[in-house]
Amino acid sequence: MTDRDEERIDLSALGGPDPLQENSVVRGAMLRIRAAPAREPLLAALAAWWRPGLAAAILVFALGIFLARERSRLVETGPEPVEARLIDWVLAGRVPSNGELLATFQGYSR
Amino acid sequence: MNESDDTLVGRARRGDPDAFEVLLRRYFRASYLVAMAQLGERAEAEDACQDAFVKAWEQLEQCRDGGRFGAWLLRIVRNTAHNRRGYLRVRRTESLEDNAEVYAKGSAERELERRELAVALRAALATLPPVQREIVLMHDLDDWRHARIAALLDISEGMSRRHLSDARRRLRALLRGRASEEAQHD
Repeated sequence: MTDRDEERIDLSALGGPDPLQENSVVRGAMLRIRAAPAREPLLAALAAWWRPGLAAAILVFALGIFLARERSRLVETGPEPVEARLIDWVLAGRVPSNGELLATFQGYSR
Repeated sequence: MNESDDTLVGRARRGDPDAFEVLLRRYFRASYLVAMAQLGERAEAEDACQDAFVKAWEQLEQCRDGGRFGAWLLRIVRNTAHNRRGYLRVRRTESLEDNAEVYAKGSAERELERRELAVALRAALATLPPVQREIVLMHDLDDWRHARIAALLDISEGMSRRHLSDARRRLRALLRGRASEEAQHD
């Protein structure tokens, strides 16, 4: 079937696009665009990245909440001293000394 | 030289308005027809296009795929025209001066007929789903091929043909009904 198999409907009374009209509309838009202050690169970058940035921030926030809750849950339920210390080190981002490791795992039965 | 949309979008993003103007001229006809499909009136469609073009420039960073700039721009035009239609629906009142101007013209009768036909066409078009309106205007008013329509509207060629066929059938039925009503009045 080709594009012209069916009889087309005469819509010319509505007025189709023409070159004069194209000129006036595009020129009008370009005048407004050129009259506006140039876009700042920083603002442009923000405009492009605000959605992914917001998503990342929400993710980090949710992770933070989860870790904080997990920690308080362990504290409330009285975890084994070894696990509690390990969590403290992880949250503080600290590498324990050999002495601390020996003291912590002394008598640990696994 | 015919630069690709992607290249032009890249230049426009770096702040080159001339590149953006080339893109606007490339997609003007499509934009106008999409706006017409929503608004049905030339002057309103032109205003909607102009507003949409300025918006597109302001939001150009959000056009992630420069190669699909046309479809992206048409979405902005469609939304702008849609919002404008809502605004006009609230505000519209028939201007008496407009009618007086028509009667003052030498070919008043012909002009009146054309206007009546335009009103009937607009009313008939308004009963179609938006995508069918866009397709019938692109194809029957501006002589587009289905391949081009399909590419810009993000549908298959088969779907474009089907929409056109449905739209024509509906328009014919409505316009025929109007003609027979007029004959009865006469």
